[in-house]
Amino acid sequence: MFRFINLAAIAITLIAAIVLFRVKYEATDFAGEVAKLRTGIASERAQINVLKAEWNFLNEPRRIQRLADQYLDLQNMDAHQIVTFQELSARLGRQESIRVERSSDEFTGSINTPEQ
Amino acid sequence: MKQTLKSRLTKTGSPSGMPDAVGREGQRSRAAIAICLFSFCFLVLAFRLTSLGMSEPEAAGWGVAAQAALTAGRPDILDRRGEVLATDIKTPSVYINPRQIVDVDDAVERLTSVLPDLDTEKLRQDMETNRAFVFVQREITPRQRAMIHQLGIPGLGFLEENRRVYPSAETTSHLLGLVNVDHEGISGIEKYIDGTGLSALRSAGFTGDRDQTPVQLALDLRVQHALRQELSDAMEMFTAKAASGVVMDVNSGEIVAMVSLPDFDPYQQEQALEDDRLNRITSGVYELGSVFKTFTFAMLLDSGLGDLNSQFDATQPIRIGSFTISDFHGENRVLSVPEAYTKSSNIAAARMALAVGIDGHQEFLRRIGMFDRLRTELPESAAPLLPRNWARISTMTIAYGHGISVTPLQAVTAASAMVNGGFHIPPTFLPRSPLEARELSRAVIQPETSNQMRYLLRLNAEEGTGRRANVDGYRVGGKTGTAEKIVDGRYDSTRKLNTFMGAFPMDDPQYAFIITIDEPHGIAANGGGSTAGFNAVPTAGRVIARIAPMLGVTPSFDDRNISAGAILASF
Repeated sequence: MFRFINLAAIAITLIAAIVLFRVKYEATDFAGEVAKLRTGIASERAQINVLKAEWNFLNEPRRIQRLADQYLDLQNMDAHQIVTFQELSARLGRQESIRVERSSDEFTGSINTPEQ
Repeated sequence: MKQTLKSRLTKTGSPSGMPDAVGREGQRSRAAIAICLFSFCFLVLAFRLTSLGMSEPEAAGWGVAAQAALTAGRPDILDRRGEVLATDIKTPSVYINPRQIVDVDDAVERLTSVLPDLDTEKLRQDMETNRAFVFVQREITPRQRAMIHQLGIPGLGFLEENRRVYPSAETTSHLLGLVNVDHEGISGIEKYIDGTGLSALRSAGFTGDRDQTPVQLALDLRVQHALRQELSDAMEMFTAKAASGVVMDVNSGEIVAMVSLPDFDPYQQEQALEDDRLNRITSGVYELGSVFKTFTFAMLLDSGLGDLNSQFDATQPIRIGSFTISDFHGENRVLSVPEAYTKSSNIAAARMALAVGIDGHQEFLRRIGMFDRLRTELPESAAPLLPRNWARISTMTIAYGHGISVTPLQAVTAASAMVNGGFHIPPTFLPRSPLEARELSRAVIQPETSNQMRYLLRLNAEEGTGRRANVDGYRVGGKTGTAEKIVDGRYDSTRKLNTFMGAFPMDDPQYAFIITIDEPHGIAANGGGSTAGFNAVPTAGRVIARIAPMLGVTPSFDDRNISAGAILASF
């Protein structure tokens, strides 16, 4: 009886020790992986930041203007180029009702063509 | 445990023979001592293990601490539309720990193969010292870093350092300011950010990560660029010494653009210290000349002592002692208020100020913020220069803008109040809603006076000195100023500070502006004149034509009949 209990206890101890050993190493591995991923994320972030900065360098208005002056035949916008929807309907020459709505910063418009 | 063991031993022990009993007694006590000892040892071990298990792994050594100090981050700075104006970039730096260098010659040779610009002698000396940390080269490229890493030299390491970069460079340099080598703001918005608690965070060591909320400004980078470019073109065209401009939202007090030329390259910090490159908008005070008449006229109309139909005698110059006040565009007749404004009559302005009186004049100027240093988020500011003894003559000259020096920002803030219904709103470089602005504002003139000022400003741009700024569609209104500068204590008629101050669109003012051009020269193309109408005004016109569409100002053409077929031709 005692022998059986002792053997069982020894077996349980051994199994527990083995399991614990493996779990510990697994945890260490995972911790290493977490650290690696963290470093990876940090370096990706830094990379993204560098790219963002570069994007802003490339899109800097002064640079865009220089390039536009050099390669494009664009001019500054003139106030006459901006028209309202009402003026559009005059141009279309029809009696559409034009509706413009403003929700926060977005303008939306719709043209209802009357039934012919 | 000890107790149970003892009792068990007692129970199982043999009851016979004394010598035997004594021997067993000794064995028992020895066993007990051993058990105690081992139990104690295991307890100590268990305790130590638990405490180790509980403790966080310690950040190892000086390298990590140095890293934390160097990567202290600053928040990004964005413009009102989210464009990045300033950000941090991590750049690697390579260092050595000389104590760990095994083969100096080999290390020097291999390092210089990647970084050929290194001073080999100095490097060798550095490697032979007994210090634990020496920078080899700061701010290397990621590629160089990878190559050095490949060399596998023991005792070599990398640190990531934060570098502050400004994608728009000169365009925003005055506004953003600078940071020093320790990444602390030393001027401009950068310094303001430090003042809002960043430095406290930093000293507590909380700024290592870069997940800081970016700081958004009211500035619009596109508008800023357009303003800067037009000013720099104007500076070149009129061979001027300097130029500056600021655009302010009259309803919220937000500064949408602010340029002062010559400006400086944020990567050449020593430039920023040159006197000529100061921020003229916030830290320079100037006698602004005739633009000040705007305030004099507003004062008269607001006081109720005169209205738009009042007449002022400008038939002859005013003489006080040896001093004469005369008109540049001399009409030599009696002028109505609108005439006096569009002809920019010094005599009429002086008479208006006298009509209000010295006390009333001072009180009004104080009300519109001309007496106090205007403080904003920017650490740079200048106090106005007021006459030491405010005599009648002071009031008369100040009526047309001489004898008082203020910053252009003060002037534009007051100009906003003239057109926005009479509210003096402290300017800000951070986003602010008109509602918030209303709470901070002070009513300085009556809404009715503000309406009259709009009329006068618009009139001056339609038929007065501001004609060349009358951009089709944007209803510009403004007042010119051509102020002779004081050189060695005397007014020098060859050196002028030309100004155009106003707002648009005049039927519902949204933006106020001031443009100054310092010491411009006449050019043949526009008749050779060197007063503000020939340089500051057309420059302002070009600026407004460019920025008004960006700012979403709806153009309208009074002369254009919407239902008429004639407009179709303009598509």
